[in-house]
Amino acid sequence: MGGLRRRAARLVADALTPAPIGRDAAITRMERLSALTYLVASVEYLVRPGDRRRGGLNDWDIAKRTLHARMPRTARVVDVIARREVTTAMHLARCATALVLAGPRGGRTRGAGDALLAASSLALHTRHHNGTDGTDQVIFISMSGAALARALQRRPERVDAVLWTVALQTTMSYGLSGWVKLAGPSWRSGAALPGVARTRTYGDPRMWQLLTRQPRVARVLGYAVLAMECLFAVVYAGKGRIAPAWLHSTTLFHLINARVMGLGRFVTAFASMHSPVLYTSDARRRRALGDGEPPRDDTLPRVTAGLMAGAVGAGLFAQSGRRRRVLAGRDGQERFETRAGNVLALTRRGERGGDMPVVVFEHGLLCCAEFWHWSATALAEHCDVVTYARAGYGPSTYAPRRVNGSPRRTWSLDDAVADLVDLVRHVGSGRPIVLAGHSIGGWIALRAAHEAPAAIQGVALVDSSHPAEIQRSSRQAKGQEAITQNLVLMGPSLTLGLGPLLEPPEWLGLLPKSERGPLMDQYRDARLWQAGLREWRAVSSEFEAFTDGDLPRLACPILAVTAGYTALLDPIQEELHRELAAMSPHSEHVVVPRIDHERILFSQPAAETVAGHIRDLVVQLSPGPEERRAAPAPVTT
Amino acid sequence: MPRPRLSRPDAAARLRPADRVATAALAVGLGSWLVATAASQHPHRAFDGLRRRDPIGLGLPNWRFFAPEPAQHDYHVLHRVLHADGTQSPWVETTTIATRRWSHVFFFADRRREKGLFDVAGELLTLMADPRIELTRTVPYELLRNAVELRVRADHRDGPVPRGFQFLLARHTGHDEAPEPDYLIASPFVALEDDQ
Repeated sequence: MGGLRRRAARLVADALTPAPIGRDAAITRMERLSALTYLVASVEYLVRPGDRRRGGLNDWDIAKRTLHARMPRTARVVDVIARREVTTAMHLARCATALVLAGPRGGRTRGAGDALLAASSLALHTRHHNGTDGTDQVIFISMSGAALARALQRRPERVDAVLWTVALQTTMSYGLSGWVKLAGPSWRSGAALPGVARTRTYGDPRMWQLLTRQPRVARVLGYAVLAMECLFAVVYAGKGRIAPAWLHSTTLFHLINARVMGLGRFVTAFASMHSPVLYTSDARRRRALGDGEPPRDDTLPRVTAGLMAGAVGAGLFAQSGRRRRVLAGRDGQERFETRAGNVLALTRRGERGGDMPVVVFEHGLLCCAEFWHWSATALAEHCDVVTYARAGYGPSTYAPRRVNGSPRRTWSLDDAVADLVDLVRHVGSGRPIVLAGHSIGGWIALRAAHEAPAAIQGVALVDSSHPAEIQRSSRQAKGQEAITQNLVLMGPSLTLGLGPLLEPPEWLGLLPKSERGPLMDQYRDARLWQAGLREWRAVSSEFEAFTDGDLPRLACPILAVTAGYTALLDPIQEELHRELAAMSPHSEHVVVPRIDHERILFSQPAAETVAGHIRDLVVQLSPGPEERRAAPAPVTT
Repeated sequence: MPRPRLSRPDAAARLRPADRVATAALAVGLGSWLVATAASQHPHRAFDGLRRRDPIGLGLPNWRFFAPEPAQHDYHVLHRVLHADGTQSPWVETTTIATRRWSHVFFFADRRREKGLFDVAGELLTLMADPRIELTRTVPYELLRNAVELRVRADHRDGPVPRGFQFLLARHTGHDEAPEPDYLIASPFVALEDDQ
């Protein structure tokens, strides 16, 4: 009994405070566990040939079209690999190589075997595209690391660089996975683990019942997972003494997942990345330990930290330049300060003067004045037009109102309406105004027309928002929470200089080159997203509180334009647009077919069609030739 | 069993300037890869700008496992058949999800297929959001259609070939059978040729 206890104690001690691992041992352990995972993975593929034949989800005859469209030369290579005999041969070769690596063979054979397995990942990954998971990435990294380390084995400092790289990838794998989970409401609330356990694919009925009956246990377990992942980098603290215990905990986590979630391969795959972490975290290896191994070279983490600082610095530098350009605005832009203290940047086009109506464009939420480019340019051939950026967008500033030094009250749509009314009075100079609003801009325009009925004599709504849309359209309601989650992170991410990582939106190419630069600057600057989030929160709460019957009546004519695909995806939207038009006794509703909510402005033909409809409204409102001959009565505001 | 050994380091060679440059280049190359990996893990896929340059998907590892939101539903493919005599079958599940077993810890051949359905369903749902795309001509749709056709033909191997079938993709809350399933996409009628 005493002997068993002593042995158990020694096992635990060896596990928690092992002897320092050497380079050689670190590479070999990584290599063997990775090879074992390759072996299991290949046998799993070999016993399921149906997955690759017609009717299987990796039938290359169908799946290849995606790769051929993107990378035709690579696709032709994968076409050869995807042949039944070639795929089977590659998996058999993998199995054989893995078995060799499990054995005692040394030196160059191991390095060649490692390289072969790593190369097989590259060759087969696309071929097996559907069904790939984290283990495929992990074993590719550990096997490539082993191959490279063996190739460089005459230079211990280079081997150390490779081992550090795998160790830091492992640290990111756990650490970043944890931090990104914190961005998910399910993880923060503790609902994630029961949610996963609930699924048949990744869960287990008994685990699900346990977690549902014991929500506190579920929450504690969830937070434990988050802590284990988010704090992984702690393995490098305290001379690395905590690393063995932490790594054993993660292995236990993977073992539990193997049973509960059916993720067996994850155990050996992730374990393969542990030995580099053990090697690099061990403070003892900084000195020679008399076992013939030179001390560890810790240059790589320093170089990486330097490169990271450089990348962040470059991102911040680019961001400051971008912010400067956004605030400077475009050539020929005027500035106008509203009663609220917001300074709006506006662009006039046309400059005909006279008594023809002026068209003022109101953009949507998270949009830019430049979105109106095609419509405004087309319309400017017939009348004067004004585009402007709402407070907080582009060069327009948002000055939260302070009353007697008290903190600012929350922004509401009333503020946007008030600014628009001020702007209208400023640019109109007594001339009649027609407002054209897209999305939420449409609703703002309608309210402004209600506030200033003498000045605003017509409203054109382009795929406008309706205050009842959240309540009456389940499609709109479902998207709400997701939108808020998405918006919250945008501003801080861009402030931290991540702008260059943000891919240009796909519609950017539809606009002329002159607009693309300024648009990308605004898109990658935090201001757009901060303004958008502020407006989105206000719009959400106002629309949720809206009661049917609150729609005001207007005397001026209303034109409502619906984008064809908006109506197709959500027929309730078209109904709502008609209702908005019906706010006036003089209403018209048109549908622009085969176009969606954004492209109705970005696509030149669609935008010019919209401009044509607005022009008809303007002509309707323009004084006729007889009236123009007579002295026009001043239009009071 | 003799352990594989690293060969003895080449001390003199290490001091040559060309060698030092090579070592530095290796460190910068590996460090850059680490920085690029870190820059590609934002919770929003919109910041995956660097990933566009890695179409194979192995160059920049994706460490966002079950993050920011984990999978909390199962995808199911169901189909019904229009028999040769004009009668209609009820809706049945095309494939089943394997019941969890202890053996899955060591070997789980169906894991790939189940994950594959998640991948295909996810792609299909993304494509569905764009009304300009004709869904029935897309890769994920055809993969699902062929999977159903395979099952239908296998089921009716011994009798007359059915006139055709229809399939749908649904999402359900797994072991929690109380909520109604979400029926996501229904295919049009797929006619079967008599060629087999």
